Amino acid sequence: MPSVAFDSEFINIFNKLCEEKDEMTGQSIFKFNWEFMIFLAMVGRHKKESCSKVEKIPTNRRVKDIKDVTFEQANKVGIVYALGIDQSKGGDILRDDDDNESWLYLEKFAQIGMEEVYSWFVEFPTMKPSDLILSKIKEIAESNISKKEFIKPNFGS
Amino acid sequence: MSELIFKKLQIKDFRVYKGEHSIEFSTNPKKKLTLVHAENSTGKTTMLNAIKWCLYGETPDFEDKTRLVNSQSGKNSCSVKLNFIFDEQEYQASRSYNQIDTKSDIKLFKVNQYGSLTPENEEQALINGLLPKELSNFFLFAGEQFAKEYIDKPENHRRAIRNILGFDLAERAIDDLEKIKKDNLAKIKSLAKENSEISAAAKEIDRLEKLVESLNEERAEVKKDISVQTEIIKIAQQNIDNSDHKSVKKLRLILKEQESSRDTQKKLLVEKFKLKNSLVSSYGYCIFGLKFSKSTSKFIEEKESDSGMPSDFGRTFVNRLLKNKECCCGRPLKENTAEFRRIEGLIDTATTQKVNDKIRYAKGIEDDFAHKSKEFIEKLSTLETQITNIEAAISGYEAGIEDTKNHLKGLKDANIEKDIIDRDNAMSEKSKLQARVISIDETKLKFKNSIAENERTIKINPGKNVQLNKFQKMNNYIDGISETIQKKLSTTEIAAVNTIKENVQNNIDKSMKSKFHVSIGENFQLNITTSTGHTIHGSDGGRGLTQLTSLSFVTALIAHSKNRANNKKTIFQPGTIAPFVIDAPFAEMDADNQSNALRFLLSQSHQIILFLSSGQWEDQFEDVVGNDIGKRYYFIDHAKEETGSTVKKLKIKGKDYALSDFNTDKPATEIMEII
Repeated sequence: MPSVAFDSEFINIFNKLCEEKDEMTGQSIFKFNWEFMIFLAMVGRHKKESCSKVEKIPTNRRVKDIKDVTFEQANKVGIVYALGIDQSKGGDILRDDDDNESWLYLEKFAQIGMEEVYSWFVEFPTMKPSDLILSKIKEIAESNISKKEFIKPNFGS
Repeated sequence: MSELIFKKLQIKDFRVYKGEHSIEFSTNPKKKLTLVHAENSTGKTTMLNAIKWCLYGETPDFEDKTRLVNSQSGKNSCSVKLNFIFDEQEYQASRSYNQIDTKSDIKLFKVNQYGSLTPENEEQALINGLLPKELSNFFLFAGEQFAKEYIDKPENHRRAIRNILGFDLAERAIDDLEKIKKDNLAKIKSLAKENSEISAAAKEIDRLEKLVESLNEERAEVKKDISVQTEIIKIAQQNIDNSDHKSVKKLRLILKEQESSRDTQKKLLVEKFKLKNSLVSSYGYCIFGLKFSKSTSKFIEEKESDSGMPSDFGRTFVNRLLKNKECCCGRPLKENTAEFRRIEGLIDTATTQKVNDKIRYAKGIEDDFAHKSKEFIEKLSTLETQITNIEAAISGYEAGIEDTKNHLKGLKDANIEKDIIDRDNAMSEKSKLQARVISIDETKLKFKNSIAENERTIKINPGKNVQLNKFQKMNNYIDGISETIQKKLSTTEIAAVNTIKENVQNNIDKSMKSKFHVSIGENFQLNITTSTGHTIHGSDGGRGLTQLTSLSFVTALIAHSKNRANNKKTIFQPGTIAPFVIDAPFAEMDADNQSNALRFLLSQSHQIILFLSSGQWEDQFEDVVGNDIGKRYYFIDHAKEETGSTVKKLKIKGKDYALSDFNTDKPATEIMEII
């Protein structure tokens, strides 16, 4: 049964976004580890087309393990399969009953995403994590939509 | 009932009056008003106090009761003489004071038609008999002070009011009859003990009476304790009333509401922040993954068309064709033919249900990720606006809360909590004590019933003792008389209270623009309520109303007593009715109320002497009381040159009278008659 994990090298980022509770809301930014993993993978995929150069996380640095069934229950396996097709440039990867390769892509892109998020925190060390992440999402969202569709948000606070 | 009439007052070196001064009051029943106009601090109040001092030797209004001699007179003694008429006989009360030995001396003389003086013995007793000191407060008073005193402490005046109503004599009669009855009972018991048939009953009465006596003592003690608790309640309540507790309560309520509104907004803010933060996990991956999802979806579609993806047909279908050796069009398939091998090759590209599902999921992410960017920005924008508004609202509430807290700090409520506790404890204690009084009274009633039963035993079996029979009969008569007087007292009091109340109500209705309801309570205390049923405490309704009401009450009380005294059949004889001598009677009243007060004072009194400051007199009053003025004076102030006071003038019927003249060697105050 495949599973994915985070790199303990980035445990501080993980803790900041998945463990630490916001003073006002009493909640962490990501309630579930799988949410963070998916987010990171998409950030990573947005950052890079390929993850071929990313090393597999060494066993001794694998932390916060998440089993594949968790993503199935969250209806997020489509992303994993899409990454598999995307990276293998074909559909045969899906014939593997265990989808090991696909899960590995997910983990590798998450690793890229983690490095990207880390760079954000380095760039804006004093910014509130939630505001920082939201500003980055907003930045990409603005580029995603056409100017005609774009509605300028109020970031007064 | 007799009327006391003040005729003349002579003052010598008394307080502000240096040297000899005299003033004659109008004794003409058709012109019964004497008016004295004077500025403040020129001797009006001193003149009122001179009358009180002359009659009773007391000057309650002076702070230093021993400094009676005018300081500029160079004398060591002073005196006041008051000539008055009672039962058509003129008297002169003369009191002198020597400040060396601080002794005062009172003399009372009969004055004959030629002015000769004949001394009377027991002067003070005679004066007290004519006008008891406690009653004098109802005739000789300063308007404002009396109103406050009467409204605040009606219980202090109960006895005097009952005396004025003439209940005193009847009440004393009942007391005397009770004493006689008690003496008779002692004799009856003593005689009964000698009678073997009733001696047990007599002894039982003895025992029960001792118990009743003991209960009476306990009751008196409990009553004292009740008074103490009542005083504690009163003081605590006064402290509460005088504090800003109502404002404090109101402000605390406002603060609570402000804090509650702020907290609601804060909760709302938290919810909005939660929603804002949740955008990260619900939209972040879609927005970052949008390009990827589109390209992947497109890639899958392309691969599907050139067989680069597992095909739509399944392995089961291919295997069935090969096993049945029949094509899907019905043509037979022969093994080892090119056609058979081509179909056999499809097995490698044929898909399964599981793979089909995976492709579907992978393609599906494009739909999931589409349009999320716009949705995200709209939601983020809305939430940011809401958060800004909520934060502004919270700031507003915080400022309001700070403001309210500052107001609260400025209010005197530090001891309210203690006063409330004291009051509530005292109320609780008082109600326990009152319950004890009820319990004592019930026990006493039982004992008294037993006494009455034993007395009946003695009554039924008096034996042949003639003396015992005589005392029995006498006590029966006493019981009957006491009961009759008691009933009469009760009904008369109710009638008196109703009449006085109506009279006061009439005066208030005529004088006040708003409607007030007057009632008279157990201790003759006046209760004034507004048309909405709100009770006016103390001087809450304005001191003008308080003064008018208390003046109305006094005059109505006196008038009622006078009217009833004319009824020869009455058993209640009101005491002497004295003239009203009132200093500053209208201090807080407006002109209309003053006119009304003047009218009812004149209509209900036989002689009135009013001391008025110049500001309290208006020409319009001449139309109201002009014909009733028998004597009229004004005081000229000669003592204020060094203070640079300006000359004030009194205008009467268009003529000016100077109330000060500083270019003279005359004494500080000079009394001038207006003729």
